[in-house]
Amino acid sequence: MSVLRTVVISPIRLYQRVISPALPRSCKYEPTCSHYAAEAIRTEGVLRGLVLGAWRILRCNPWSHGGYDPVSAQRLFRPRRSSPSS
Amino acid sequence: MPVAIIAPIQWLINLFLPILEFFHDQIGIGWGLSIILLTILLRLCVLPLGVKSFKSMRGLQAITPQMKALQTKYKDDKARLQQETMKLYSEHKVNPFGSCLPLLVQIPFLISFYYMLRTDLKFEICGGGRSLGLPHDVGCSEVPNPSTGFHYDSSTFDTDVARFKEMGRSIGGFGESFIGIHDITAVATGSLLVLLLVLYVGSQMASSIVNMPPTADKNQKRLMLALPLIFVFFLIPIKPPSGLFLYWITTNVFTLVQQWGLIQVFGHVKHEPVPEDDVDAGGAVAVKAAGGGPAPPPPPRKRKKKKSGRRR
Repeated sequence: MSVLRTVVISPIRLYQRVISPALPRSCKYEPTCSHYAAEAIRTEGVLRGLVLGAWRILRCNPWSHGGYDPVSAQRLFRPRRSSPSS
Repeated sequence: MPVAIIAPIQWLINLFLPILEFFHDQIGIGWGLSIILLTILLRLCVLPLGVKSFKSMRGLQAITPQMKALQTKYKDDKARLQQETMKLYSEHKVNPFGSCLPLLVQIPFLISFYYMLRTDLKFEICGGGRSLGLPHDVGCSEVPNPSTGFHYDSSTFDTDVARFKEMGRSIGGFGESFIGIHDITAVATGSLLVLLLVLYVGSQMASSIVNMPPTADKNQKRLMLALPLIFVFFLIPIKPPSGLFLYWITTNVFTLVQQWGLIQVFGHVKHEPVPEDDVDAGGAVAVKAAGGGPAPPPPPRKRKKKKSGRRR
């Protein structure tokens, strides 16, 4: 994984380690918004990942149904033809 | 601060500032009250989120007796309990978890208020829209009024102020005070800081009690209550301007009032009856029939169904 992706993901990891355990579960999706964002950045890249993560948080509102929603099911971006394996 | 963060914050500040100016200049109320009004306005904008969360939370509370019954019935069979619980959720169309957005939506507001009070709003209150070069811990109450010709310089600040005083200008009095707060643009210190922190922590605790999700266990409840106390330790070093507490306390009080109002409008939770003999499939059917009154779960709306195709 590139250095930039690791750097961008690190605050999310920090949130997951320090802040999130103190709160009751407040995400109706599986994987949760923070896991989704980290995974999206890891696999799709920083820009796409941040857009996907932001879009997921917006979808995680009281009107949506929640449930299983992995990064691979996203339809915002076309899948990359040759995905560079990290 | 990276551009990606500061740009949206500046955008929000540029949105808020004209509203505050409108309250202050056109309606003619003080800056402190303007901040409170803007806070209430913002909370009214996100009210639909609150109403929806309230309804879904109540839907969940309504089935707690059934959940408890399931828990006693399958206390030795964890897997079965999980299955039955999920079945109960889907039967009543409730999602046991809250959503991320209502929690996160307040954070940009808070950061914007913090920066706005330190920069643009401070310029507006005592500089006539112009930056006076004031450091963050010097508020408008220490600035000569009117401030024309004044620019902050730490080495000559005291003599500058004395000079302006001799010219017959007063110090402060731009409308930067609000009730007991002598300067909303300055960092609160001493007994004022203690008072504001007590009010903040108190209102925060009260609002987290009324918003506690029913899925939270005992430890999480304790942690959530302790959270504002922990937060205070992080708060003091970043030196928030007193005006930030106005926003904060108002928004917490709004939460309390909103919760009270929603209970008034929608009534208290009516727990659905649990048939004593069977809480399984038969019980759920009986409950569905009994739950026809005004009691939750909220009936699924047509709009919701349409959207479910696109979102999952």
